[in-house]
Amino acid sequence: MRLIAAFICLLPVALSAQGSLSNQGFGYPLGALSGAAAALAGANGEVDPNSAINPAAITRTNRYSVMLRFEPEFRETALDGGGGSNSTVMRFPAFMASGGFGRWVGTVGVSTMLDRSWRNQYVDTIAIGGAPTESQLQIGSEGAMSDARVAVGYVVSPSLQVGAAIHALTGENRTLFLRRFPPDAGISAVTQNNSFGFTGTAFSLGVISAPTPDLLLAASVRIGREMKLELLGDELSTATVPTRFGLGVTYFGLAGFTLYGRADQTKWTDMDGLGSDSVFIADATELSVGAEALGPKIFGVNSALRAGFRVRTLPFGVAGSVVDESGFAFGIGLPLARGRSQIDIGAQRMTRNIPGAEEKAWHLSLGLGIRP
Amino acid sequence: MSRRLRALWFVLALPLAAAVGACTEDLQTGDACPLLCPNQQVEVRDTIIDNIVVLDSSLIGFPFQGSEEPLVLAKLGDSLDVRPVVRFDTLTRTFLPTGTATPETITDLDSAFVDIFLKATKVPTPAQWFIDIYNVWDSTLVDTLPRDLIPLFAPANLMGTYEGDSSFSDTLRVRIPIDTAYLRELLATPDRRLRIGFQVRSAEPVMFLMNSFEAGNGATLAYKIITADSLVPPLRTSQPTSLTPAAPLQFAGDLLDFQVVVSAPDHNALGTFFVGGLPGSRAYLRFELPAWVTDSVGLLRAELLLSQFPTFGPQSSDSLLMDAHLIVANATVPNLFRAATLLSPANVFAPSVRLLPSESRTVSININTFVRQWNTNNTARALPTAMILRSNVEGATAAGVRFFGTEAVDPALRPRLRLSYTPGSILGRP
Repeated sequence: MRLIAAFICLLPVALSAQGSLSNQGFGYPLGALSGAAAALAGANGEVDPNSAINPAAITRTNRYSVMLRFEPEFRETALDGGGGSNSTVMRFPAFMASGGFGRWVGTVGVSTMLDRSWRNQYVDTIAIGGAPTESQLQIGSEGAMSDARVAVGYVVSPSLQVGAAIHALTGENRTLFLRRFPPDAGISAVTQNNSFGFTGTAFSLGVISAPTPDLLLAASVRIGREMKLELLGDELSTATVPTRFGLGVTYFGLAGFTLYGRADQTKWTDMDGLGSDSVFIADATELSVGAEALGPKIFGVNSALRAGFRVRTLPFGVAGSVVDESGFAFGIGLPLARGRSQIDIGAQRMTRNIPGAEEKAWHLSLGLGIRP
Repeated sequence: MSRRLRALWFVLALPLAAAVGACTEDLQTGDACPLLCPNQQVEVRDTIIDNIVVLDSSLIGFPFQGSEEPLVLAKLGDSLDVRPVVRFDTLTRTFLPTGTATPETITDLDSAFVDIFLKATKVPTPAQWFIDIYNVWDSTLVDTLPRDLIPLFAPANLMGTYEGDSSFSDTLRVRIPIDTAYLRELLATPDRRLRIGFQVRSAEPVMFLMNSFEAGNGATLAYKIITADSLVPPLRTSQPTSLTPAAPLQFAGDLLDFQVVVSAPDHNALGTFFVGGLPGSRAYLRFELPAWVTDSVGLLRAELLLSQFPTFGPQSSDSLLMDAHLIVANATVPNLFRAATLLSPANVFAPSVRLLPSESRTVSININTFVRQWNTNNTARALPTAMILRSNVEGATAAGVRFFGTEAVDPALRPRLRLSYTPGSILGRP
């Protein structure tokens, strides 16, 4: 029964939320990280074969594998001067399958680019016929903008790998808007259910180089092309898929330790004009560092202990204020079945701020990799 | 289970337990909105459309003759005189003596009476009042025209009288004695029928409501026969029966009991329409709505604004509830009177409005549900965009309300429609 319950929880629909800092605009960027990368606060994103960031990184595994990930979030939002809300969001943010042939490695996968799953319910007052009238709002959104990626990597030499990928942006936001008035007010409810669809394309290039045996340098870029917002098949607006640049450095020089660092810039303002006028978009910079250490032996094989820290800004702000996010992460990687599968368990403690409001969240992370 | 497997289950249980715990969501009411919930407001606009009603008409005669429930028994000076009539077209005229097979005609009566059930109204019960009963049958009359019966309320047809006093304040079963000689003669003449007309009189205004047959506890006729045969039950009772008109058959049933409005104030006036009163009046209103109202905006509230023109007379200080109904008759029903009977089902209604006939004010009726039915995508739009107004005690009170109509001299007094709506914007867009 627990397994059944756990499976039900993997369905990407369960959500509940009150107003939050992380779900503004088109939603929360999950970063296309794997379970292992999440436990390192994304610090190894440029070299992690299971994170859909650098297409060259997929060359770091040449076996057929399948990876999927589950990430629930438990969030507390507090306003200065009192007030706030607690909420829980279930996410199933990444799936990837890969396989290699000689020097070539290929992957297909889908990862959540912007998750817009939330539900708000509150009471406010608006003027109807000149008279202040109380009403209850129930507003929600389910779904996400997803990045479907097909990537190819090539091992030029043991010290140089390159990769390229094409991205298809897809997904939808199914929204509910209901404003209901007291029965004795004699005012009909305003209700509207919409399904906003996204389409767009991009391509990305990546390179990983090992100038010395202890050092790994990585870089990647994603160049966005046109993206569209559609409502029931009709085009509402167009913009460009955000361009992204990333750099990563990995150091193996300490016995039993691997150190990671990563810098990333995403030009979210490329999406300007896709949403309504009230959406505030800003480019986002992300910096993260992390360390992976050889852990205790479990089932006869070494586990991996991970920890990391990152700071970044979120792309969608509140009333002109950019949302700052920082947090630490930790976790463990457990090889199972003699290396044929891997479980990555992790947690991230995130803090988000704007003037007048703060949000704290736990992101639990479960990644499962299988190598048949 | 091996140690290794137990360890595996332990490792698996940690994330699964977290997942299961997360699945049982805890949705708490938060107040981070609306600060952190931008883009969730709707623009509300208000407007008033003048000359929205293109046709108004007062349709008199509701409920239909015979469908009154209850019946009005009233005499308010010269202004209101209403008399119920109950038909007893089938009477027991014979009895079967013990030990015989041949019916014997009733020739002698000990007593006879008619029982009715009365309810008091807001008109105070006078210290002394009378109910006279007449046989208002005449074979020469067209018996579906109630006003033709008025001359039959004459002394020659008087069968009995009941005298009451002010002690009656709520409900009362009244037994009105019938002249046995009159009834005996009637029973002896098989062609004659008994149709009892009830007339109330008093030196002061008097008004009661009388239960109809349809409502139960309607009028019943009873008489005791005199016979030497002690085994024969003496009491004979009759429920209302009606044998005419012969066709269509259901009409006869409708006319078991009905009321005759002898006199009532006429509140109809040029440029107005009237709701309620006696006989009951319905107002028919037809609208000409711009299509954007029904098709292009989110309608929050649609209020029909009517200017009430006060009426004075009997029961003008008694309030009444006015109901509005959507008409579902289509264009193949050009007769407004007929259309006013083809009304919307119960789930399409407008809230009732309580009104005082003697008031002069602007009355607001919320017709949201009606306007939504008039969407051009709805086949109902092919129907007249029309509604009726009626009193919820239709035909049972003289109280009625009058409104300025489309032909009112002052345009400001004509019916208007006040709308609150949201423009056709896309909601939920990021």
